[in-house]
Amino acid sequence: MVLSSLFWLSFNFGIHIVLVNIVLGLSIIVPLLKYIGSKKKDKDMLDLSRKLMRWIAITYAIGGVFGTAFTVFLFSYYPLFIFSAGDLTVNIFGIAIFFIILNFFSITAYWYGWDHWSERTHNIIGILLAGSAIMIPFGFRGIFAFLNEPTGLEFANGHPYINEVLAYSNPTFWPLFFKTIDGALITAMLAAIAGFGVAYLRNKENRIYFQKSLQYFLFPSFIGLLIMIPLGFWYLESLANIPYKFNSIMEGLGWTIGNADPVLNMSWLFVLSLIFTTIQILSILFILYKGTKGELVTKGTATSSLLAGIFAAGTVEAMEQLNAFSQFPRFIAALGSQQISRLPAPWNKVLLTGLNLESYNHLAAALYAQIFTSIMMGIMIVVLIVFIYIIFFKHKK
Amino acid sequence: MVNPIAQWVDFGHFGIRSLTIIGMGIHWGILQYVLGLPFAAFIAQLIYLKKKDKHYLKIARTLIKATAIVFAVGAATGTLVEFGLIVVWPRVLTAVGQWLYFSMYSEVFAFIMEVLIIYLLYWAWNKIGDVPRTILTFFAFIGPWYSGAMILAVNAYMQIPTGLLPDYNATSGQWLYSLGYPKILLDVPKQYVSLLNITTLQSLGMTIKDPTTNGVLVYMPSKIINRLTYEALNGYTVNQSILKAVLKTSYQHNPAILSTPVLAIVNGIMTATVRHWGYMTILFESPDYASTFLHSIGAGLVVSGFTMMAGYGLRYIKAKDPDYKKYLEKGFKFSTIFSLILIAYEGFIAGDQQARVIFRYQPEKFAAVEGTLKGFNSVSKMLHLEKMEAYLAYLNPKAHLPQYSQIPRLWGQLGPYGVGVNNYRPPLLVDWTYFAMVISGFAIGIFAIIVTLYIIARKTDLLTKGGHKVWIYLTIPAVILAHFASFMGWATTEIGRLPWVVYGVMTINTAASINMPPLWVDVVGNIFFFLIAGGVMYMAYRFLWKPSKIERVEV
Repeated sequence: MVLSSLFWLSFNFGIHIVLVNIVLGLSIIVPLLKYIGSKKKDKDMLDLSRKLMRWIAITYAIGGVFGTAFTVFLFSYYPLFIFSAGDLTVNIFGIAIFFIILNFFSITAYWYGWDHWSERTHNIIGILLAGSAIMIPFGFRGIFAFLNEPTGLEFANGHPYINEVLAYSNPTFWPLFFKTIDGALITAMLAAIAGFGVAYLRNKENRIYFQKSLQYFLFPSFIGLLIMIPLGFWYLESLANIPYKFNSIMEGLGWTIGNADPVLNMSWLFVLSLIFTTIQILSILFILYKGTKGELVTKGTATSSLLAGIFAAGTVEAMEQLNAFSQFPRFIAALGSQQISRLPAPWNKVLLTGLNLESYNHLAAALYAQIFTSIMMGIMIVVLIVFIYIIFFKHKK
Repeated sequence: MVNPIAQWVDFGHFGIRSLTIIGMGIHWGILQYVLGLPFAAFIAQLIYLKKKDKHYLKIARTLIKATAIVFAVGAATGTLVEFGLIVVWPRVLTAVGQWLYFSMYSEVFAFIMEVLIIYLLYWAWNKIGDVPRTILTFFAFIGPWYSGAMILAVNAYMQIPTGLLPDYNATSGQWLYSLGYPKILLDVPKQYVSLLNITTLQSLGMTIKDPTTNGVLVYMPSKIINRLTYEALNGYTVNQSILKAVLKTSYQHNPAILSTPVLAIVNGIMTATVRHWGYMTILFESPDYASTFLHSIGAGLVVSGFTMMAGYGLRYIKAKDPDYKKYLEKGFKFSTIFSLILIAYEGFIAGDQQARVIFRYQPEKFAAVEGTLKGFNSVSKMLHLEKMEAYLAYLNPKAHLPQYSQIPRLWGQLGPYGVGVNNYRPPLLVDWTYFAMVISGFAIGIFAIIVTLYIIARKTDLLTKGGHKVWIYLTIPAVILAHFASFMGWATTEIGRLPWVVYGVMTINTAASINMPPLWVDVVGNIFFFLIAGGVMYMAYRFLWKPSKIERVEV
């Protein structure tokens, strides 16, 4: 039944991470568009930013609940991990928590306050919105980097703690953080183009929004994808200190380090994410090519935009799942059972169970709980589809 | 002379306790509206469906808009509380995740339902018909109630663990600590039973209830459970544990047994116990569950009702447009009657039931509420309520109040084997908080009756004139008192359980993180919470109150 724990964690994380990437990217883009639109008195830009703000509110709400679901599944299946992680990551987690709330609050204030606040106040809240969105991964990627390699883990008086300054010198942190910001911007921009592309395909009156979204986002997203290439290599290079994870990603391509022998060979997912990235680049190049021919807004470019958006989300999904599964069954990639057993007692015993994905809580995997969870999740997904249909596609009575 | 506030602070970990109190307090303050407003909106829509009076549709629309605003912030503070619990009380979350996870699972779906339905209603109000909208509004309050039912199940277990036998005999007026009470029903698996010296355990107060297919059901003294929980979560092995003293002689030098982590044994016993009750139902079988749920929902409805009353009333006395004024008058009448019914329910049914359950199973809390300590001027004594309180708690005219002065200071400790707690008596502060709740509740109840009399006498318009206006202005302190009563009730429940986080099972010392955040984090965290609370109030003013001045009735 270990599959059930991995399935639910992966399922909830998978939905959550794609949506929060879109929110993060849009949280930077929307206030910027609104600001520039106001300065230039560009009504189309203002309309577009307002429409995208609505997307943030909806995406955030859905992404947020799946994030909560992930946390609940995590502490139900792996309570001993929470036991250790809670004790250790209080301050790094604190950074993420603080900015999640600030971001949530800024979204609410920015959304409900549109046309209510003064221009200046609204822009200041916009800065808060973008800044808090950037700082959330600063906290979470700190934890992810720690889960790669426990830089900063120290023991005092027999108790483990994290030296936060050292934790942020983790070689995997900065490439992961910059990749996140770049990836979120790309995904948000391509999702926006795809969304307006679909709107254009359904109703030609939406032509202006599709056109504007292409004008504003297409080239920047292409640049973002180009920047992602060195960032990706930087992150891969930083994993060279963690042969277990590195080999899981690269061994299928014939590149291994040391003698670490990971349980899962995840190279196929790495290759898949590269294919997805290539499709995005080709889709963008196709639209750019059509643009040079004066056919920027056509059925073909709209379809191509949709492809780019879908594969941008798919790339995020593939990359994040790759990052998670390439260290299976370790919660901390650099800590196998041998390394853990060398830690001071009694923590070596606690962490031996707490940091192993195969040591799941059997009560949480009980049959009826699984049936209940599956049925309820099925219902919720149906409701979610109805929700999206009514909000985006149903017309007013 | 006892200083109730110092006594409360002295339990330690005050930095993270203050973070939890303020964080949860603000979350609770906000989410009471999520419990109450959509329910009121549903009633208003039912009235609209029956009367086809557009004013009631407008009332429902306004309440849903308010729900959407407060829900967003409530969800944010809820996330904050969830993550906060993970980092400052990780062992509580570990225990919940390991053994009591099911209601948390279920709550996820409640949360999804809340988010989808509330925002669907908000954004799609004009896209759907009257009946579907009413059905959606029904689910808009069922979602938060369902969510509350799941979260409160954990809280109820923390108050009264399922299978608890209380430690006070009200008829004789005797505490039962010397007999090993309070005790909790545990299912001890066979493999552990065969290792243990039962006679020694029985001398410590353990009683055998029944054999089961895989072990034995026993009532275990909470002082043993308390110590074992502490040992389990602090990495003890059997060799370092009190368990070594109750091992059969033949196992006392067995290295495999001695090196076994206590956590593994506690996990085995708790897993068997959870299976005995049912992993889906154990929390709901806590004696406190039903009353906690009904009382908490009631508090949300009361706070929402009085806030609606203030909102509609204060706009009513200032509005100019006749149609808009009519709408406000209906909103005011609706919320006044709503508030009166619910404060009566809360005081005479739900609150009464909740107090009776808590006082029976947590007699230490009852003793502290009544302040039965020589030299302490309790509110109960000052108002000569002792006999009435004893009767109401036990429904027995001969019942005795539990005496605080007779509670041993270390009643929860197993002999010399402490868990770092040097006082198990709950703070007498709850004497003040409890009566503050009761008095505030009565005050707003009487206020609601007076305003209702105006409505019954068909003199609502009088409230907009001359000295009668004072009743409208008094809705502002009524809202504050409604919140105050709710907070004081919550404070009584939580503070009165100290030093236990889970009564009879886990103390705050065991539950807290080993890495406490520094003081500045506590201070910044608390300031942040207050800023959020201020922000939500400002948003309510800006996005609900200010737009209402436009005096537009259409929805």
